[in-house]
Amino acid sequence: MKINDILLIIVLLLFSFIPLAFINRSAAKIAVVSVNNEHYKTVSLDKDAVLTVKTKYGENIVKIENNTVAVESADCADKICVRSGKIENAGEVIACLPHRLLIEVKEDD
Amino acid sequence: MIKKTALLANLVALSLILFLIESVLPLPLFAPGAKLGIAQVVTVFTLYYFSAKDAFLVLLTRTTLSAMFFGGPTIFLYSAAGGIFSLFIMTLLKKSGKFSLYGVSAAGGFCHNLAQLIVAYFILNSNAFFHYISVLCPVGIATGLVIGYVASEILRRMKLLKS
Repeated sequence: MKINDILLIIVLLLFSFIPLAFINRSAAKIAVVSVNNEHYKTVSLDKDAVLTVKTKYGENIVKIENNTVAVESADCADKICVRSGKIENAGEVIACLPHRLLIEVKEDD
Repeated sequence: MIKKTALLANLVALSLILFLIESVLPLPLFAPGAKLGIAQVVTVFTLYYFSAKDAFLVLLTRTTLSAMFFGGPTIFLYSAAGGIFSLFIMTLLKKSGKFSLYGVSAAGGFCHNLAQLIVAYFILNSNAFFHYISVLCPVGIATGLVIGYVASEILRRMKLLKS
């Protein structure tokens, strides 16, 4: 390991954290669900609900609870969406790439 | 030449096996979507033991075959974008002569994840992925360092065998 390597790693780390500066918290939140780039449904995080997203790509069960969104179960191969856990802050996402599903938390405006 | 071709073909097979092992045993590593990317060891090794051109050939063959065997066109887009961009940056950094294998490999891991997030941005058309850069890119640096260590140990032993 050279000094240059350490400098390079520090620069890359700083670059990684730039996007955090653009995220703000607070305000009422909504979860925008889209499939294959098309809007599927928008739901409020205020009310607990269970949403079944069934498309030709597959099925995901989305659960809204205590102002958080999570994919409870899915019939995709990798289950990355389920392992993403709960999200609650604007800007956070859960993606299920095999099903082209994207859940985004946004601020309601 | 024939010996080299055979060796490169072996490297492709080896990286496919590593890729397969990793997809069967998904390590819950730091964050969802993050992988160790052990197949990347082969890319880094080939880059240092042979050349950037050979590493590119091995990488392209591996991503094409793995997409045909286990994935699909979308998976191919992600792994090819990540692999090619990270190899490109690693080649530049290696050529500059200013960095050791560790720095080169760490930058490779970083670029691999960055490129995949950019592809995700275009496919799913959501800028929310930029938020995830802060999670996946540092993970890429860490996995890149691990891969750099493994690759350097392999190279050290290969050089011992050669002499």
